[in-house]
Amino acid sequence: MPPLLLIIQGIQAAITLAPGAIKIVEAAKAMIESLFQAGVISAQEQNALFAHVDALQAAVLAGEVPPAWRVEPDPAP
Amino acid sequence: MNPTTIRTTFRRAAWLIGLLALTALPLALTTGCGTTLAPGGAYARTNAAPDLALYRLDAAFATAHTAVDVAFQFEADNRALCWRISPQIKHSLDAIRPQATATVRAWAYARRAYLADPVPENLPALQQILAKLEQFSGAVTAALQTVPNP
Repeated sequence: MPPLLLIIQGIQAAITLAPGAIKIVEAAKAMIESLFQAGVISAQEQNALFAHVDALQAAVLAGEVPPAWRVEPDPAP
Repeated sequence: MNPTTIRTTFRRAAWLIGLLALTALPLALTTGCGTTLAPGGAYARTNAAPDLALYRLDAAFATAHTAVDVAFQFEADNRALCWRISPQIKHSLDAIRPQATATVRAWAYARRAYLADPVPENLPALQQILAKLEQFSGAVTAALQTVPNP
């Protein structure tokens, strides 16, 4: 396993995150792991990346903006 | 959770997001590095030449986008905690949010244009937009690291 992923795993083990954020981090880790594979990128891996990016493109072109990307009012004092 | 623990947890989360942001740079800059595309995949269809450039751009974009998304999502999910540490965290990310949204929208249009006409002349637009998104991934990391010392 690439050293970078070991570092990420170590940091993840040290972080106490909300359940929602943990899922995000896990998805990000899986993405990074696939991207760091050297040699031949299999058809399955290519299709997974293309599908992921294509879905992002489609969502953006449909006008979707994730809630976390919107500017919300500041917390009440 | 005491303030020191909160700040430590926050810094560690910022480190992780920073690592995600850093991975986008080598993916965009490396020229092949022994990477080849197996025939039949989405970037190496049997009736077209392999498009390693698009693969690398998509990979780098996915990483940069994830870094920005993780940062926005982390702040949103932990807003009260972040606000207690410093209101500047939210304000810094709020300054980036609309710009990042516009950049991703520009990328979507540029990628659609490239897929419709996959010629090298249509790559620079994607590369320039990716560079901007990578700047934002660094900026959100910096915003999350603005934790005052106790």
